[in-house]
Amino acid sequence: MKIDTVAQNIDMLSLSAHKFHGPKGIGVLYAKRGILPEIVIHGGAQERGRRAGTENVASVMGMAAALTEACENMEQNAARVTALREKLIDGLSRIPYAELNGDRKNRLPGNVNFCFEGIEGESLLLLLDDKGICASSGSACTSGSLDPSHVLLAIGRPHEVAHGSLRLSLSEETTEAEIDEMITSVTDVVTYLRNMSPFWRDLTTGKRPHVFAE
Amino acid sequence: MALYSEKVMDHFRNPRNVGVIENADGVGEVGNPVCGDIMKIYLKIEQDVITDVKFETFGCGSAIASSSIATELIKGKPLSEALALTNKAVVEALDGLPPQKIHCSVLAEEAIKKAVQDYYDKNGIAYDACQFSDCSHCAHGCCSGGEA
Repeated sequence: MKIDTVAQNIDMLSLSAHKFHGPKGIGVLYAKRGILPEIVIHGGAQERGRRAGTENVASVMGMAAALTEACENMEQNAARVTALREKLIDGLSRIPYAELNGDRKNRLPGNVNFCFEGIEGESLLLLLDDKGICASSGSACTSGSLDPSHVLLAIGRPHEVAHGSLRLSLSEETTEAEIDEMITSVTDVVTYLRNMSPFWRDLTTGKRPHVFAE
Repeated sequence: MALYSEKVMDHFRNPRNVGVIENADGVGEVGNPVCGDIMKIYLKIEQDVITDVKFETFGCGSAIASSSIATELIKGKPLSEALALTNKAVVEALDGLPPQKIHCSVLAEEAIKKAVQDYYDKNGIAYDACQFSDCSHCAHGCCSGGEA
């Protein structure tokens, strides 16, 4: 998305290079002139005394190159990835008792995030990993805490459904064939896990009420 | 995820004894969807021996692996042995579980005990209630001593 720090009255902005196909381990913190972020790494006077330590020049150059490329191709990339995202969302929506998290239209071009009733996220991720698909989840088991994603809870998902969440992030290099594969694999894995879930059995027999429609 | 041993991954990818037993002699269900873990054990018992066992689980890799191996550990065994199964034995049989996943083995132990208790209750068999104390539910903190 286009960012204009002046027009949008932005005081501070942080960017992670790996989010725009740059190297991992490097980012940018932009601060409007006059705003001084707290110094968290003390020592030498690098970066005008704001962050000590010799700069990781190679990574900075990589990030700059990635940023330039991302900005130059922003519109075409966004359009292409959005189209793939739409196909993936449509495909996953065909799974019964599944719902997209967040707004259908106003979301990042590459972000797909679903909740599936009756199953748990970590087992979903492990089985998808076996199929060569890397994803993430907001379930408690994947967070290391006892609660699932506070974001999913905040947008109104009950605990039991937040545990069954899946996030797939598309990149500029994702292909349509991969989208088709994701749809098939996720559908298969969700079905498989539901077949061994007592929670899903209770939902289908009416012993527990469904949270989603379908 | 080198978090899990080969044994855990095997039982997760190829779980043994998944399913239900119609008209089971004992059924035990533990956990709840709010916590993100539910295990259900079905037992077929003949002359105090577990002749068949099936499980269903809603939960993570450790939960599925724990319930799978637990059914293997009690299948064909006398009830007394099933009752003596500890979560430690489940963890050992899996070649270890990460510390934050130990509660999955506890759930497996509890599910088995609950199934046996159900069998005793259904058949009016007397038993020592202390053996089946429900307080162990509090051990994993999330359920705060019962249904949340």
